Amino acid sequence: MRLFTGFYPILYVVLASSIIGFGTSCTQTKQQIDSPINFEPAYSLFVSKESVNNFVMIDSTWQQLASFSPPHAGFNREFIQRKGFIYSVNPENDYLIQYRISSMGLQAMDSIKVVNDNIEQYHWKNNSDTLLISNVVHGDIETCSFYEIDTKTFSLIREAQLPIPPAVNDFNILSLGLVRYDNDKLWIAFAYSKMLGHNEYTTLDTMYYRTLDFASLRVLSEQKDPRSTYPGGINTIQTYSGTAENGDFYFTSGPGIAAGNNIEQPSAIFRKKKGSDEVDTTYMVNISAQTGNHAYGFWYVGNGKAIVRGERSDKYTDFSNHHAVYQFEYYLADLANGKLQKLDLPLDKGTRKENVVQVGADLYIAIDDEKENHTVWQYNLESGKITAHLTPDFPIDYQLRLDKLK
Amino acid sequence: MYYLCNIEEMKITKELLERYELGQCTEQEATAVSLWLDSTSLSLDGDDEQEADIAEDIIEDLLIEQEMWQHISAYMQESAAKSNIPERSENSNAVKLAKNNDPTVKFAALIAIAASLLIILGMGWWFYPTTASKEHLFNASNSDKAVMLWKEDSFEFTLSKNSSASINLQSGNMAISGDVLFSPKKDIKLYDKHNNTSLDFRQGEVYFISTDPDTSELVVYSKSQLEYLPPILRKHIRKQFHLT
Repeated sequence: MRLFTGFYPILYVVLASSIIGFGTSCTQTKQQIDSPINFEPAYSLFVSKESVNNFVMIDSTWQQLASFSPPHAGFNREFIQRKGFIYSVNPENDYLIQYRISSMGLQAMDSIKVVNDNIEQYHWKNNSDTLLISNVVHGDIETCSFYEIDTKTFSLIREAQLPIPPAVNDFNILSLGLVRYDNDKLWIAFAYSKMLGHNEYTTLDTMYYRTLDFASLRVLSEQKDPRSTYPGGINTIQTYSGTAENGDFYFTSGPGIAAGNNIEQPSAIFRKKKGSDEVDTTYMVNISAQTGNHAYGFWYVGNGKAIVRGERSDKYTDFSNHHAVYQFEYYLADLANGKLQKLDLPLDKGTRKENVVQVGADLYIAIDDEKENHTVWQYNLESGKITAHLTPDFPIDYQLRLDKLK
Repeated sequence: MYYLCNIEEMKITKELLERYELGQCTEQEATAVSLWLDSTSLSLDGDDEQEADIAEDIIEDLLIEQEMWQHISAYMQESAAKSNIPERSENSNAVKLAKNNDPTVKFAALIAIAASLLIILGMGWWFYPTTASKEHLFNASNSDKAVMLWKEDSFEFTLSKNSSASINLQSGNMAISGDVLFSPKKDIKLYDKHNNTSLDFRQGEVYFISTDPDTSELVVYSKSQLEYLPPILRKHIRKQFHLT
């Protein structure tokens, strides 16, 4: 009898725990994390908790998860990912390092010395294995370094300077917003900013575009577009452009306080038609006119549609808390008629994120909401259905990136 | 500096402070102690060479010290109240109480001794920063070079042009003008003295610190947080400190 009297309370506790556990799991199922990886990773989350970054690898069924640390303390979310390889500049020594994703983490394979750690633009030439990288090198006079790299052999094909003017009047901070190879030409969009005070700046109210001959880097043409400013943005951090099935190229501008800070101008979508060296001046989707806010982030998702990530100016005070407040809304933009449809997703935080992945008709969007859920949501473009898809059981403040690895 | 004259005229002793807290001072003594407690400088050693910044730090130090003193006082009053119980009933003094075999009285005596020890320790703690503040003050300024680097045992400072930084390592108060990079070699907790905020700095991290010109608050970004800033501000910071 003693055995039973001693055993019953334990039984009650186990039963109660099971009920509580069941109740909790009904409201939010957190996916357990394993380590090391014993599956083929298909997706990766790059997450941050109190400024400590980690990778969470996910299998193709979204059922198995494993985590590992980045290769060094200075490794941040500004990396390039393609075909199971990751490319990142080590800020300590300015080497661009090629890593392979392995079961133990990122395995360094090879490296190339670059001028600085500040990759502003990367682009896969003709969607091949040739990587084009552009950096602005800061100094009394801004210059642009350009690297052409064969990632198959990880060797430098060419290192050159891009002929981009360092300043316009006293606007002496140059930003490269877009770099794109097309038909033996290199097309570059850029803008100029200047400091107004201690922590204040603004950007000149014009988007600049230049077309260069790819082989010689000679300037073929230049276009000034006053409809907005700060075209594109640093694309190792977030995507700001996409190419439609017919070859037309779409991109956004970012004059909001978190980018160009010329807030009277609109955040908008622009188009450069296939085969043309010029941006189409007859086409513009004014995002700000529809949402009353600025936007940062653009992902083309097929069939003339794109996802736009927009801020809420009523939620933040200034850029000091811009990244920390829950304010970001997601819109489905119809690029043909210019209509924006707000998606039924929780408000997200983080000024810039690379957090939209497409698999067929499904979009996966990693959102950090105000209930402290850090969840990958699934949005089916055909049915319009939106569901919580995956919540990793892992310490997270921000899901900075969601990548499809293959 | 006129406070120093008042202080020099006073003979503030441990006994006087004890009597002050027990309410046994004369009116003149009580006024002297009050003035001493309210004074902005406790430079009893007559050191009158401290500059305005250091004096400000000491005011902050004093506030902390007075708060500490209030805690000690509260403890003293509590012990005095306890020791007064047998005093009232037996009309005796503390020395006699020590001879009393009553365990309550023994306990009260122990409390009194403990309180006295606390006062002595408190006094030691109190006087320590006034003599140590000079050697625990870090001061750096850069008025003409593009960037200047200061290396200390526990941290490094990189100052951009027209910038200055000071830390009172005793109180932890930090003051910055302009733009600086701060690289602690150990975990350090410092205080933004103008805004009563504490700042935790981690070993191995690099911090960009500036003062908001509108609010005079310290604006602190760790190097890893720089990625959350608008890219143009980040470029500006990189440019200032030659981080490219």
